[in-house]
Amino acid sequence: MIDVIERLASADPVASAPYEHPDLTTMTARITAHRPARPGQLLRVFRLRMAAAVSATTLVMVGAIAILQSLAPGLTVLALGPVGKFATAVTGAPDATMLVSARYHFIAGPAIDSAASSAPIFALSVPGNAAVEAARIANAFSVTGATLGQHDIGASVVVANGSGASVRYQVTAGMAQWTYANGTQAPPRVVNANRTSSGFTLTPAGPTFVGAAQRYLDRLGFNYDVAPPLVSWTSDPNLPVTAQPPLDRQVITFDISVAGTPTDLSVSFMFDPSGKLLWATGPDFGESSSTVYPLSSPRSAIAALDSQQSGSATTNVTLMSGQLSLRPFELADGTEWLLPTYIFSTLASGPPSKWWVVALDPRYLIPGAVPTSGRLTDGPVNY
Amino acid sequence: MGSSPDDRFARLVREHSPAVGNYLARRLYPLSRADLDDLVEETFLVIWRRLDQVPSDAELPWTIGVARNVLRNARRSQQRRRRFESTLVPRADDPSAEDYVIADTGVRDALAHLSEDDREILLLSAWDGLDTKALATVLDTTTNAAAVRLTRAQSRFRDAFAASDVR
Repeated sequence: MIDVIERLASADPVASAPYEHPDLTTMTARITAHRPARPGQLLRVFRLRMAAAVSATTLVMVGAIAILQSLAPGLTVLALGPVGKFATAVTGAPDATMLVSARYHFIAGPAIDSAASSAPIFALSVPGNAAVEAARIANAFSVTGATLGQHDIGASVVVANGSGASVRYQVTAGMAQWTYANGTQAPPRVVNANRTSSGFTLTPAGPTFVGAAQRYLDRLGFNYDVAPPLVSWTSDPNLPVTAQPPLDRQVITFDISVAGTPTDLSVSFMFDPSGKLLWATGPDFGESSSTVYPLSSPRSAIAALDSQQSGSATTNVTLMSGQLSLRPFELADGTEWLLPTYIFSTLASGPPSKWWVVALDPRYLIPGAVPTSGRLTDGPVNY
Repeated sequence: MGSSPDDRFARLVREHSPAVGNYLARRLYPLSRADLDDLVEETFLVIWRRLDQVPSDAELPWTIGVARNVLRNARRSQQRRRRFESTLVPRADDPSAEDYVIADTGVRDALAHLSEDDREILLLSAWDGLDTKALATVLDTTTNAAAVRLTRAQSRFRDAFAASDVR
């Protein structure tokens, strides 16, 4: 009889069609065109960049740029990362974020402003010593055990104590992500809001653990600002698919804002019904500088959103309102920045559809493989 | 006689890109197949930037470790965007990445009863062919701990398979 482990091995989904890159030579050439950083080089580049940013800030008065006839002196044209196309939406998968497709023709509603303005972009940085920062964050969760692993694969650090609680700290570009987990607690699952939850029992209204989440947040001591929390419910992500468990796990989410502008970043805490913290995650970053860049007008941005489609449009979408939001982008040089985007809403009857597009004046942006627009659908649903 | 960084990197790409691509392809969901080549490139871009840190005696697990982090970041990035349109609902609506690619329903059902950690180490061993030393490198742990974790995960998988209705 075949051993079940062998049966597992034979279930390997790629066994019948192993991966083969279509053009290794070109990929290798593309990568090696960027010389690998030598020790200290990254810091020097960073310092130079900061010096340039500070100079630029002194040259450009906040809000002074309305309409530019030419590029403003001192402002660097930003080249978006050539890799990371994974940031595009999923197609053909359940609940996929939809790509801006040929099916839509975007029209600016009467309230959409046609005046261009300006807004700061923010260079992001992370604490210099990942191990020290990981230990500091772990301490906020009373995890004071040994560092289990620390190596330079994306600067990943794990701190764990004897009871199974752990904090993982992972650095990429100018941002780090920390995750606390109690034992083998899996993160809560996130799916589309319009998916039914029938068959599951929502926990009755009761006390929330917002206060506890706020205390953890205070202990973590990050410099970023957060909005009032959102409360959602989920089931135990560790339970099997067939169990259909009740929605008895509470998730408290704080949206992060920078300099008064909302971002698409957040900090989340998941509690069990007794209020025990099971899992938490959030970013760790600082804004090392900001530089004011000219923006497209909201009306021009909608025209850009419209022009990024191909083919003939079949559905008119009138965008009635818009707001600025910040979103992290990795640039081609490996640095990470928060760039302003517009989020437009149809405000139609029923669930509004929302669309985002980079708000920077396009003369200051060299597109990469990272998408510069996309669709958002409904906002968070809170039970 | 040592090879140049370019030569070493080209060899790493040549020798390990199939394993990296296979590793990512098995765990791609909810990302799409169209993203696969980009994730492979992202992985090797990180390796190029850190070429002098790649241990010569553990190139494959180190490379898989980078791919693992790249995949996590990609999912996290996508989750960040999807948060605008999302709420939190039970896992029953959201199987693991592996659930989408396993045709053997008995195996799929047994895996669904395991924790994320058990499933990861089990599949790194069974699908990616990593031994305990390599598992330890990928999972940031000791060889001994990796061996214990793997044995326990295999045991729990056998139990789940035996208890499954679908065999």
